[in-house]
Amino acid sequence: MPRLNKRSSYYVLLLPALLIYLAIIIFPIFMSLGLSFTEWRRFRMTGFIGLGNYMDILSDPVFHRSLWNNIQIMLISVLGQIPLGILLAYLLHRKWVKGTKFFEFMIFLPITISSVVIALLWNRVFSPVGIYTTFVRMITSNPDYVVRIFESEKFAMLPVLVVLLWQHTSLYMVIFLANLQRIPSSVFEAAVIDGAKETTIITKIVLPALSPVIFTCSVLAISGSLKSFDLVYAMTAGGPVNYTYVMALYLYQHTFTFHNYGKGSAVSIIIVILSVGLISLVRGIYAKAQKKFE
Amino acid sequence: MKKVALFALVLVLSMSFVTAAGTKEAAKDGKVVLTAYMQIDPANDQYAGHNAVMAAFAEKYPNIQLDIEYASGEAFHQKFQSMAASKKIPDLFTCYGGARTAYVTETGLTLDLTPYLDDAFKGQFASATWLPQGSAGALYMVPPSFAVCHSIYANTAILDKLGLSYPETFEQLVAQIPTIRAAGYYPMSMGNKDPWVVNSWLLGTFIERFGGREWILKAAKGEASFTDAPFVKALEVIQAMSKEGLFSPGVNQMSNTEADQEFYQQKSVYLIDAAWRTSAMDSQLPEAQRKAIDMRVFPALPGEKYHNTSSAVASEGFGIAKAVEKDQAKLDAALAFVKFYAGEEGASIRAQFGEVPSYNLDLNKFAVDVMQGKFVEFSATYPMGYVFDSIMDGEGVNLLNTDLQAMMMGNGNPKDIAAKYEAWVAKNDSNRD
Amino acid sequence: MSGRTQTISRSWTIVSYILLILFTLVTILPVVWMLYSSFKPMGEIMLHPLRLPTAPTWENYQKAFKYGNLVVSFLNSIFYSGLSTVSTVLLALAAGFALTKFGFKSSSVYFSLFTLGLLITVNSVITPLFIMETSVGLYNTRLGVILPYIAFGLPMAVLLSTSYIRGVPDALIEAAVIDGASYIQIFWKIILIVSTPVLATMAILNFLGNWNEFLMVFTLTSGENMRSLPVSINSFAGRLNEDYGLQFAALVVGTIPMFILYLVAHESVIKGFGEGALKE
Repeated sequence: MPRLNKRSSYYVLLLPALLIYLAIIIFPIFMSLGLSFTEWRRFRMTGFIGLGNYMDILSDPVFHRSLWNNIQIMLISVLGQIPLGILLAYLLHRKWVKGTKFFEFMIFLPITISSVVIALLWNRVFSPVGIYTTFVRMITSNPDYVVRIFESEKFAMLPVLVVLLWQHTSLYMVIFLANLQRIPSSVFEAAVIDGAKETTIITKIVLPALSPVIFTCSVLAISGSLKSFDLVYAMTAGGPVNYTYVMALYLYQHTFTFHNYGKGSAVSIIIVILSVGLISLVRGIYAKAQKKFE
Repeated sequence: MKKVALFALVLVLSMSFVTAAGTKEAAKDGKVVLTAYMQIDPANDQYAGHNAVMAAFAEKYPNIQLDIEYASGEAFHQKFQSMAASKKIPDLFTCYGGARTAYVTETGLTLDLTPYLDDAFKGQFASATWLPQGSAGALYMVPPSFAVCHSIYANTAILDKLGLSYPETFEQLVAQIPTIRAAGYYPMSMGNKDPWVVNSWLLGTFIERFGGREWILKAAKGEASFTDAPFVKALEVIQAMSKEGLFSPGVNQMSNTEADQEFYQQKSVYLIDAAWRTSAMDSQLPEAQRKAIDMRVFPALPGEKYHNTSSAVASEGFGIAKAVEKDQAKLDAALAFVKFYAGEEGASIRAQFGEVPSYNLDLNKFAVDVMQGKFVEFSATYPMGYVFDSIMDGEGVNLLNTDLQAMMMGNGNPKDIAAKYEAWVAKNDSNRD
Repeated sequence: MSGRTQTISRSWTIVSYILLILFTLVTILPVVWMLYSSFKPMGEIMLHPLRLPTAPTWENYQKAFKYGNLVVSFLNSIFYSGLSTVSTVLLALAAGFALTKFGFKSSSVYFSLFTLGLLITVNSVITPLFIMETSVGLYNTRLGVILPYIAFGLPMAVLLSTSYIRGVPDALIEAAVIDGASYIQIFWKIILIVSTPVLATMAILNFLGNWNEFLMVFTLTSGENMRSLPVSINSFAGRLNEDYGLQFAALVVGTIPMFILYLVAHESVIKGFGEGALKE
């Protein structure tokens, strides 16, 4: 086999991944971009309307609510799942408890369970005929008790957020745990012998060492939360009213229930633009933080 | 080297598996092969009749092979729409008379069956079977039965215990609430977590009671307005039901099945549900409990013009792809299937499982289970009105349902909701084009 | 160790236990409930949701296997998830190596392009994808499922592999180049080996994502012999007339393999780094 030069090797390594990816994701999304400027009525494209779909969507209160709900999901992901993931990975890594393997498994478990199961189980517990509700009705002798938060315009998202926190923290825990292995154990031992506090070890050793991974995870968290669909769809389907609507649900409904490909495509483009903006923001923050560490 | 050889072997094996296509198109021994896509769940008791019909069909027509793909729920439509967008749809498929599958019926992909169904065949069915479908008045499918969307199941054991009887009027129903609550029961279970429930199972019937079928057709076309009395009054009844505490607590966070569960556990006196729940009740409840369940319609509303109505819509049936018309053998096979399923043979089989077919049969000769029998009687007793969301466009109905749910939770009032819906319909609904 | 550090680690131990046990309870209780409920008929689940099965029955499983064609779906699931995971991980590591250690300017463009993929939902490309596959003859083939799986797995895998490989010391690669190794050899002999921990993480996450994926298999195939487990399970999870017993049985069948996978693969995630290839 003739030896490849550096540039050819580069393309041999890169191209297989790149080509599959371009053909299956980037090409269709450009089709979507084109479609997002078209008007649809009665299952047919009826013409070009420029930014009409975008104007419609951006002035729709249901979309505003969806956007806000996605932002909440993003906040719980970046500020909840990631820190909790780090903490849990660290606790397990330091082996302060017996049976770390068992607990690793338990924390990992939620991501192996599909969202459909989680939603199903959740409802069996908290719905008006659920285990929890029945139990509270029994001990308080208030037969009208239901979990009111589900019907609250302001807080209906809260249960979804809690489940997301539980479900996805494990993802970050696994990533952080694998990366904590890269810090030689002698570093921790030395720090402990020097009498460093655990909080100091976390802020001075663990966080700087993990910072590239934290950045990667933040990107994952942001993109994942702006397109989250499965769990919300299975748990609430956007209800009650539209209190738990999210953008991907809005997209799904306009595309597949109301047959408006133009509007559906415009929503996916909006999601992409928003994510790009937010990720650039995180990248900026990350760059600044790195400078500080150096 | 062993590892490499093993890896190569696995790779070759898996590639051959990868490239093997999944279709079994090859027609063996001159069989006619039809691909089919059905919105049916063969594992569910509700479709036991369907399974039996399919078995009988396979026996009678051994030369017709059906390659069926089953799917249910929203996913069915999502995939079907992708198929429609690529103009490649199966030979046979579930489709609706109303707007729900308009993406295949209104886009020229579905065969109009009108020329293939003669009057002798049509004459054997209930006349409502042949109401025109779609905007062009075609017949895309033969409805094998009617979906009855409104009924009230009453637990007479509890009613007797409390010394009550099924109310004649809405006022009487409301007056029962204190007695029922004092005894520790909930008056009425309904699962409105998916907000189409209150629309399909109550609103349509209420509008019909106040305005009759003519009114809704007029309103759809714009000759009447949704701000008119029949619509607003119907909304007011739903609001009153919420305010009077008729529904169980958490009606808007309870799924259909959960509402059933409350009623099955005998925690509530009445259940608002579709009439097709009877098959599930027969398989899940003890016989004594089933015998004590009465199937009724909503009591008389104050000022109603039409009495004792329920609501029903021609249920979905099987359509044939337009492209099949070019292949005579396939067309014959597809038509044979459609006629077998909806016609005498299919209908007799389905009737044994408690279905009430659109085909005219003497249902008394079939011995069916307790609740199924009650359903047969129910169908014969009450006049059937329309189902609202089979007439109006989905997007508007969705908007209305959401507002209705908000109203049931205390936000919004009938007049505003009606005005908002009328404005949407005037601007967007295809009925007003 | 001084007394002070001992008390500190004792309080950390208590905090750890509380947190971990809480997490465990929240996770394990519903799973246990699902497991024993799968041995109850629907009627019993409806009337007595909490009670242990009075007469445990395999009926739900028999029905699920019969109507859901679960054996075939199960094999398909393993095949779709397995082959696409192996491909994704290899392709992503190769791309990650190319994008971090070659120093070409185009790298950052390609990297951003891959990150863009993280933002795209399956819902927004499924219809164009269906049209593309039907026109090139990939519709209803296993390859037609695997290629999109790889494509959707790549963005996250590339992100993880680049961030990991970036941390591999350049000296390791430079030394190999001086020894006369080609870049392709370096990829097989060095990068793949030192990436074991992130490789295992990527593989597990990817496999899981594909294992539970529904929309693509459902849309891009037809016919029972092509279905994966989630598609079979969904076929009897209709919203109008649910049968919990049947659903639970199918879900147990779908979830158990993941537990096993974790128990098997878990060692390589955690211990994979023991080789010492990268201890500076």
